[in-house]
This record gives sequence, C-alpha cells and structure tokens, in this order.
Amino acid sequence: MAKNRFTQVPIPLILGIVLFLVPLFLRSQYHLHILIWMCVLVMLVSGLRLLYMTGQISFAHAGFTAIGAYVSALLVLKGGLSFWAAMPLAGVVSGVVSLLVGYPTLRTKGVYFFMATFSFGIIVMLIVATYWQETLGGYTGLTEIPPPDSIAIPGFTTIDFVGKIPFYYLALILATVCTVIMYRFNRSRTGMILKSIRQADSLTESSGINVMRYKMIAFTVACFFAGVAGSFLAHYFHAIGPETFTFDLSVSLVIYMLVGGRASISGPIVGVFVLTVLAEVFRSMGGAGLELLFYGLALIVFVTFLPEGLTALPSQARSWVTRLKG
Amino acid sequence: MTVEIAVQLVVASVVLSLTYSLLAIGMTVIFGIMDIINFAHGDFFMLGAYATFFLLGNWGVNFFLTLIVVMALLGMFGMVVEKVAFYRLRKEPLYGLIVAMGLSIVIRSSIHLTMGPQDRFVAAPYRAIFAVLGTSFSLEKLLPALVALALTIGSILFIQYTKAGKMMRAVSQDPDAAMLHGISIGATRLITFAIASSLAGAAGALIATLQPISPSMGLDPLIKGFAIIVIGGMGSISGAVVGSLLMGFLDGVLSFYIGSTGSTLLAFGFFIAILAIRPKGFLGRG
Repeated sequence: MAKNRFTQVPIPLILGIVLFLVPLFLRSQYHLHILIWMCVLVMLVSGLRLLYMTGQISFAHAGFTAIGAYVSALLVLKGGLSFWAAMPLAGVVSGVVSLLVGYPTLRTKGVYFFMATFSFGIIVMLIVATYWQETLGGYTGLTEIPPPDSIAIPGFTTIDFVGKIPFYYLALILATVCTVIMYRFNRSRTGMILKSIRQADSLTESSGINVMRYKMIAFTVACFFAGVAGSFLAHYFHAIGPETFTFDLSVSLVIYMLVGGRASISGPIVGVFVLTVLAEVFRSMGGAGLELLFYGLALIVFVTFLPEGLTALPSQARSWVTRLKG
Repeated sequence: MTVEIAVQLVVASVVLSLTYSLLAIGMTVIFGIMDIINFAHGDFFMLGAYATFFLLGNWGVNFFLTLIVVMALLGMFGMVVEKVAFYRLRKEPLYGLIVAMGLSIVIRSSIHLTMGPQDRFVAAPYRAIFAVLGTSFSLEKLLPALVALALTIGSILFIQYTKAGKMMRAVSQDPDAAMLHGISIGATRLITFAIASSLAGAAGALIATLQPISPSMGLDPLIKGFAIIVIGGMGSISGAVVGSLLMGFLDGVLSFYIGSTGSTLLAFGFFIAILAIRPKGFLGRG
C-alpha cells in the first residue's frame, strides 16, 4: 500500500480522536497515570530520536529533564512565576545548558559522546543531591510543588488542575505538539541534512554543510523538549528529587527509542507503547525488579537482532521478500 | 592533619588504588582487544563480592580458597558472557556498549530480585593490628591491599611474558596481522574476558570485607574505572595502573577535604574534559 497523504492523515487523526475521548470511559486513575506517563515519554524519546538521526545517542536525557523540572519548580516556588511562564523557560534553560554540553562533546565519536553524556547525567544528579541543599532540597528534593494555574476560558468555564484528567489533556497536547514539530523537522531540509549526517558525515561535510551546527540543533531541540517535559512532571508529581531522574531513566529512554526505531516519527510512539504495555504485564507479575530485568533483556535482544527498531520491520520485510523473489 | 591521619589516608588511598587497578586493567584490556567498553564490569565486581558473602561469610570457607574460587567462577562467567552476548557485535562499538549496558541491568536486577536490596556484610577473616613507627595498621586493610598488589603484578607479568599474553597484545595492536600469524581472535577474546572478569571478581572479593555489599555497588567503581582508563589511555595497561594510583589518591585523600561527592565530581570533570580534548587519553594507543 503506497504511503501517500490520503492514507497517512486518517490514522493519526483517528488515533487522536480516540485518545481525546479516553477519559470519558476510562475511570481507573492508575491507567490514566500510565497514559500520562506515556505521553511524557513520547516527548522525551522523540527528542532522543531527533538526535539519533545524526548517529549520536545521549544518555543524559534524564539529567536534562531534571534541569527542566528543578528550574520550573524553583521558578514557581521561590520566584512566584506562573507555571505557564515557567514551563517554556524551563525548556529554554535546558536548551541553553545543552548548548554548553554539546559544543565540546558532539564533535566526538559516538562511544565518547555516550560516555560524556552519561557522566553529565550523573553529575547533574550528584550536584542536585549534594550542593545548595537549602534551595535544591538535597536528597529529599523539592516538595509541595503546586499544580499549574487554572485556565479561565471567559464565558465558558475554568479548568482547574485537580485530579488526573486535566493533566492528561495537557500531556496529550504537549506530546502532539512535539510530534507535529518532529514531523515538520523530518520533512524539512534540516531533517534531510540530519539523516545524511548519520549515513555519511564526511560526505555531508564536504558538501559544505556544517555538521556540528546541525548536531547542535538536534541536541538543543531534544533537550528543550526534555526541559518542558521535566517541568510538566514537576507540577504533576508535586514532588521531585534526585531519585526521580536517575541514570536508569536515561537508559530506559534509549531503550524505548531503539525498540521503536529511528526510521519514522512513529518510532518513539511504537517503542513507548509496546514496552510500557509489556512492562505493565511484568510488573503485575513480579514487581519493579522484574520490570527492570525485562528492560535489560529487551535492550540486548533488540540491539543484537533488530538494531533499527520495530518501525524498520516493514522495510526489512520488504527487502527480505525481494531477496527471496530473485 | 596529624601524622596519624595522614598515614591512614595514605593507606586508604593505596587500598583504593590497588582495587581500582584490578578493575581498570581488565577494562582497558577488554577495550584494547575488543573495542568494547564493558559497562557490566562493575557488576562482575559486585558478583565477586556476593560470592564472597556466601563462601566466606555464610559457609566459612577459607579466605584464600574463597578468592581462588571466586576468580575461577567469575572467569568462567566472563567467558560465557563473551560468547553469548558480545561475539555478534564486532562492527559497531556503540552497539557493543549498549549491549553491555543491557547486561549490567540484567545482572543487577537479577541480584536485586534474588537477594534483595539490603546491604550485606562480611566479617574480615583475619584481624590484627600492627604498630609500625608509631602508627597502627590493620590487617583488614593490609591483606586486601597486598593481595591486590600481587594480582596486579601477576597480570602485568602474564600479559608481558606468557604466550596467551602475547596473543592478547598482538590482537590489540593489529588484529589482521595477528590472524595472519595463526592467532585465533575468538580464543583471544575469550581469554581476555576471562582474565578481566576474574580480576574484577577478585576485587569484589577483597572489598567485600571492607564495605557493605549491595546490588548496585558496582556502579561507582565502574564509573571510576572508566575515568581511569580514559585518562590513562584506553588500551594501555601502564595508563590503567598510573590512572588507578591517581584515582586512589583522589578518592582517599581529597575526599577528606571535599567529600566523596566532591572527588567523584572532580573525577568526572577531568573525564569529560579529556573526552572532549583528547579521547584516547595520555598514554593510550593512537
């Protein structure tokens, strides 16, 4: 079936409508929470995927999420700002930090970039846990973070952020906006340049394109979204601490990305959905430890046998079929 | 800062240095020969500590016998891991790294599930205090340090003078030329992993009597091991040894002044700086 505009639009649209209507018939708070978490994950993993299009994998994403979360929480708690101002600012701060981190490290090869990002993620958490304990809250972190301010729609109603449903819609909107932006990126000239960097970066560079600049763009955009997601989490969980944004979270984000694949923007969505469902199955069987074990195994299996992820299966299948035919 | 405290700090640094060197030599050798950064190395260390908990702590097996058994067990485990998990991933070092991470998660959560997250302790088997030149040394710390020293020297000699060691060095320098001389790359990889993991297990066994044992105890030494081999040069054994001395000093002495978090941050800071400037380190190949 050829992929043209007519088949591409309805599926996301139907999905969108279904997701929009979910809270009407889903009563379980626990399941709503999972959906919210999945939306946040999609935001985070999409950013990782954008960077992975240049061939680099960042293991610091939890750290950047943490930066966004702490910045937002502090701006609201101590700075008196409204959440709606704090959230984009959190993203911006995260983006700026990523510029500083990315500049010396993105120019290195994948393996070294991995080590630099993994160190950075851990450094962020160590600093947050140990220094400036008065402001940052030390190991216990920040608590009593207020929910987003109510939105008043004049003449209609006021949306208060009480209970999970408003958060669900906010998360859904954020995830959708993020995905749409990624989609535009993918199709744009910048997106094609990013793809070509992954495939042959010296060739790209000899075409006169500044590879570093595009890697930095991808990295900064990814970290901006991480900051925004972090801000959402801070005001959704109402409490954050060093234990919220661990290295294991960074690793699991990479797992979602690899399982989904970078071939298309639906990769993060597929990866998040599949793994979250399976993880829930395991969690109901054996608790958190079993879930982690499953993640580790998934990582090994996928990188060994299916490094391009699930979304690459259709094209993989097509090439196998072609090979079988002739 | 009395002489007494200074000496204790030096002793602590030495113990740390020697333990790190066991890990760092293994990690650098794995990288030199297989171009893999073994993210699971800290977990081999952790397994060695837990094995010691059972053998020495629960069943009362003699300390030295425990050490030998732990090294043999971890060596075999390392070979199994190499065969099963890594051998498919020659081409893309980043993927090898990711597989190692997955492995680390699998090992850690398996231990977490079976043993629980609480700390375990092993009492030191021999206890004595020596008074030398007016300061006291405890055998608890001295014995692991001496054993670690012996193992470090032993592995350096092994790599320098034995046939297997020469195979390892040949493959590390030029795998194709090594193959032309009839050296089996697969066998070399197995031996390398076996040695590296048994050294890591030994380090775990030695540390088991000195600090609490928990499923994630391997992460901190792993990170320090990384920093050591990057700073000292990835693939270089002399770099690993020198780096371990530095790291031990940093951890032992500076921690006293800036706290253990401070010294970890400093190590990381160095680490990132060197990654950005000269990824191959100072003494490494290339």
